[in-house]
Amino acid sequence: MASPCEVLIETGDKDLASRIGLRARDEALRIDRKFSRYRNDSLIQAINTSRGRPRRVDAETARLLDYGAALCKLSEGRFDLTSGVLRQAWSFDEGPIAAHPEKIPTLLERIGWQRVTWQPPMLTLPEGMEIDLGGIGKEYAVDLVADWAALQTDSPVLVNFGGDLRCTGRPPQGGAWRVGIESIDQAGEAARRIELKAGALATSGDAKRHIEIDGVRYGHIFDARTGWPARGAPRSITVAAPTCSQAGSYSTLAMLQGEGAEAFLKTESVQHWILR
Amino acid sequence: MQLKKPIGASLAAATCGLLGALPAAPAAAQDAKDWDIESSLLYYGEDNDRVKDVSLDVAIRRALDEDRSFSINLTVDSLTGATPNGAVPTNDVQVFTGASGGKGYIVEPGEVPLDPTFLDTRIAASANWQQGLGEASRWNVGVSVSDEYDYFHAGANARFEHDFNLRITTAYLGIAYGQDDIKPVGGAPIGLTPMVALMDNGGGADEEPGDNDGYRDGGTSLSKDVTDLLVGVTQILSRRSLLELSYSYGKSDGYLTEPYKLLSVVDPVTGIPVPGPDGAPFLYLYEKRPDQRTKQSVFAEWRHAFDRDSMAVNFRYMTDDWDVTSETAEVRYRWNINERSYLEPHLRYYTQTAAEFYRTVLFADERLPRFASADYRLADLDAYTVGAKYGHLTDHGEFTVRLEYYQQDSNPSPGSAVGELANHELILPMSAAILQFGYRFKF
Amino acid sequence: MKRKLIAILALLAAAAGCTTVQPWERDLHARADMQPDQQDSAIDDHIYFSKEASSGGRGFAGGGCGCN
Repeated sequence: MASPCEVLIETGDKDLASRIGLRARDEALRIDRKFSRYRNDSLIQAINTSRGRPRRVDAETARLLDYGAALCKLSEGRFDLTSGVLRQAWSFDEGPIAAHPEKIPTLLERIGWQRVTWQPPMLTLPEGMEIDLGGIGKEYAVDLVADWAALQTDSPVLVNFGGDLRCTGRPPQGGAWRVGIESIDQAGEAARRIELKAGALATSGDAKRHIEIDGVRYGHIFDARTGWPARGAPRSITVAAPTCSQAGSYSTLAMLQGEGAEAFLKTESVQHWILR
Repeated sequence: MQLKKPIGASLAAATCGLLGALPAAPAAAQDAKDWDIESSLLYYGEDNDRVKDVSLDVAIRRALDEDRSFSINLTVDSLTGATPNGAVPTNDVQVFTGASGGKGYIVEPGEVPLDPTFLDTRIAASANWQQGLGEASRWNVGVSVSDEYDYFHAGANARFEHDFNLRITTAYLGIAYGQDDIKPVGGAPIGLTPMVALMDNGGGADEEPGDNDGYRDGGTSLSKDVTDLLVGVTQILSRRSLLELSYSYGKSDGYLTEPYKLLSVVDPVTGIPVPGPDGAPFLYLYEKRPDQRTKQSVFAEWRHAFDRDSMAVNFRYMTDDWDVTSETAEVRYRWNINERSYLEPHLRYYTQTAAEFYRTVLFADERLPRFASADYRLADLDAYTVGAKYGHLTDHGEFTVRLEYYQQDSNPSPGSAVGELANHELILPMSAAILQFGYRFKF
Repeated sequence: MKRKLIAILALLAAAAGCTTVQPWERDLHARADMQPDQQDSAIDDHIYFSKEASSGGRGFAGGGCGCN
């Protein structure tokens, strides 16, 4: 996950707090291992090295693939589970950000959900293509833990995996969870403060990682159709929704709208905070 | 190109497929409310046509971030009613020059003289800025100012706090300085000189004080400096209790006398006031207090949380170089009836010993003391307060109503009830009702 | 007089004791009713300052006034 994860629970029951904390940790680690691009033993790695052979996937992976497919359709192809190969044109992974836009046309040939054969439970990924669940995995993990916690207790619980968070149970003492949206200019300072009583918040856009070409700033969420980040994208979008997956999807899709982010979220009638 | 159709329903369906179910409730998030406004409307009324006060108090607080905040406080209050002028009752009518030096007033036989000419509106404002300093400290600076017809105050204060042991212990140090200007109309009378009474049928503003009437040449402004030092500590004792202890030291320098208050000078046997100068029927002297006062006090408060309710008990002991010592004890019990309303009964007990120069009357045959005052507030007195506050929270704010009853009884200085004075009540007990409405909201 | 002051302070300081309260045991202290009410205190202080010979206590007495 590469981000600090925490669970806050307001209770006098030490055992309950332990159980929920441990479950959160276990689920986060499990999902990370299963869908990590970096691990040789991860399922995703196995899928991505299948060389065009059909693979049977388990029910959980199938649900995530269906979700990714739905987001691809709802975003008219801007969001695509197969767009992970674009990192070869924009290397954010190690060291200074390198931009190799000349690689994009070639990479685009290896992108496109329409090239994938997905007939649950059988997935056929053409050779050279990759599946990346990084865009939806974290929010999914938050939702899993939150749904499980809600069944264990009515006490106020907040699951926060690196800024994607969801609360369950009653509101805490004081009436609400106080969440800060990190300022894009001053790390560690809150630019906006939000009081969350129910539901989830997810934030897209990372001020720490961005690229600038010819004076134009680009984020790191790539439009799968063009291979470039959306023009005029805000630096940070936070959305509130009943689940973390929905909040994350709204914020990602809004980011892909670039200049149209505000208009998109307004049409969707979801609560949002945009920092430009 | 923008998406034309809202995707909400489709996204919800897709998420339901992913998670198996969706929460029933929508998200509830809102911007944090940084502004906090608290207002109170207060009625204060004493019995026997004495002081009545109506005041409006507004506090505006704004949090700028986790570390910094500021607050502004505004108070307007309007004072009317009569207050004892320090003289004692006699079997005759008494006539006094009013506080303004012009208008006079008449007191019936047997009545404790009350000066009804006080009428004032006061406006006070203060502003404070609070800033964190590192993880465990905070400092707070502020200014205050108040103005009324014959009194002006300006001051500054600063306070520093430091937390120890993850805020189990917090120590604080504060200092305040104020300069007050007193501008009695017509100038302040020279202490322990006679008051010039107006003629019985006079009492108009056109009466000029005579040359030897004890007034200074008019319009003099007098002042006093007040410096306060405060040091304290708050200690969390357990999951449920905390204890706060503080010590404070205060020094006042300058004009500390009440310019409009008097002492009756009576015959030591009959208790009848002796005649005044220039054919005035009775002699009254203006009071005079020392021009310095040093106070020290120790304060302790214990706050305790029960599962539902809470209570606070505090105690203050004060001593000063005017020989006044006082003890105050207070109890508050907060009964949290439910999540939205509470009732908080309150009891306070106060007792003080008289100032060294407090005299209910002066005797004609004694040597004039250096300082003397018959102000009942410097006498030996006991007071208690009984009251309750009710609060109710709505979605937008909190309403409160507070009703308190204050009763004060003073003892005259020993040996005062000579002659006919034994038949009169020399100091009127005072009772007052306090009714306060409050509203607090954030946005 | 001075001795009484010191005795009171010492007694209360001793009562403070040394308990270890863990950060997760501080829930009750955060409750709104465990914080002293600032406005009511200020109003009361002003009333009692006008009617008695003492002032202040928890904090500064605030500005002076010509209250009679």
